[in-house]
Amino acid sequence: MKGPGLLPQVAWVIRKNLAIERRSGETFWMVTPFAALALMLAPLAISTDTALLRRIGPGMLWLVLVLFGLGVALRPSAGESRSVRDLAALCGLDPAARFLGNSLGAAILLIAVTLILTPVMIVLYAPGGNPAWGWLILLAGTGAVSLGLLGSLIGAVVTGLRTRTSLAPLLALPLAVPVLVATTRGTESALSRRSSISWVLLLVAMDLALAVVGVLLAGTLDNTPPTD
Amino acid sequence: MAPTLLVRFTDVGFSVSGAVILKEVNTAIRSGDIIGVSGPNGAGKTTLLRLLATLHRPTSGTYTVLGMGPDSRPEQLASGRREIALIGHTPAIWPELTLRENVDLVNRLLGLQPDEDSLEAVGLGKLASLKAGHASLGMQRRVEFARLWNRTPRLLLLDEPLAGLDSATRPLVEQIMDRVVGRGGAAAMVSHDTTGITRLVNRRITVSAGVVTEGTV
Repeated sequence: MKGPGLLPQVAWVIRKNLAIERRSGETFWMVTPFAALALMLAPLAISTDTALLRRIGPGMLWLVLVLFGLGVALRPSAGESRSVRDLAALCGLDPAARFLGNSLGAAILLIAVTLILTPVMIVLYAPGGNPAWGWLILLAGTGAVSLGLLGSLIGAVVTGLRTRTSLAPLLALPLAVPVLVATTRGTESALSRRSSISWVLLLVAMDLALAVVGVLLAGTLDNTPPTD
Repeated sequence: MAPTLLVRFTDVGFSVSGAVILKEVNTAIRSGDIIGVSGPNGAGKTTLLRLLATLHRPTSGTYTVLGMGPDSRPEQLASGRREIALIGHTPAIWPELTLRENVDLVNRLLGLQPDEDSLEAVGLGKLASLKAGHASLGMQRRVEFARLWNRTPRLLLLDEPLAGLDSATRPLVEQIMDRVVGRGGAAAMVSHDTTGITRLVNRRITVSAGVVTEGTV
């Protein structure tokens, strides 16, 4: 029995995940307000020195996005019960399509979160400037895709493990550093109206590398029996 | 017409982290078989169904399930698996989505046209827009059977399918099993229910401490 090809399957996973998000509202009604709150509270805790705030603003924005973004990719509703995973496998869902669909679904949510939080950061940390919005939007897209891929990859590795909650941040830490550095430095450049091309290209290269690793490992990770 | 061989297990064993769950299973399933699987809790019945569904890979022995074997390519596996339906003891539903979406999503992934009548057929037509997470266990079960309404798998695997189902819905399960077998398929069912539906069974398998033995009806 022939089913849909890889791309329609990827689209199926994205559509399903976004439908679940629309109903649960975890990202928009829980993650986004807390991420915005973290951005608002940080200046109160640090300083009212505007020069200092302008310097740390991009780092704060992407630190919050990395932490909350991985939370979006690893949120409970992104993980599925064994019976649902069995059902998808018996419908012929390609593990690579599951990985790419989960990653891109999370990335779509994260792009929206980033586009909400970037103006918040500019108002609170770097007001009065005239940032290069084109670069900020490109950084939002490529950075969100990195976080989506990273979160899905880690989610696939830790699925079914008893140590899931403690292992996921440990795995995320070394891999998230290049994303954090590239997005932060790119945002600094965009706020100063300089080109962010090198940082965007670095993120694109990371996205491709993470996508290839995820697709190659998807079958193996999918067939690993749970330990509990 | 002679029955077709659908499944053959030869000395199939399955272990996890050194613990033997099933050992040296030798059995064959042919079209027309309706197998009742029984045995005490933890004996390996669910593992046997998962091996039949190709969701577990045997750790020893050889097997073919609907033409799939240990060396099948991913695309052969995907195609073969679409001919298998497993209803496990936990309903496979997305609780955030409606009953209708739960049926339509699976149809779409199988490449089938969305159908309007399947939920109606299982008595859930008026509740199509109810969130599946708010539905009772029996309703969630009926959603799983609605997914089989316009589709006939060649291998139907049922793990405690009657749990949560009222007596009025049980004929539905019989109807689906009849259809699968009538079209050249086979069914295997784990059930502690000794009345009603189990009368359809024409072969029995007992699993005890990982050992599978053929019994008589």
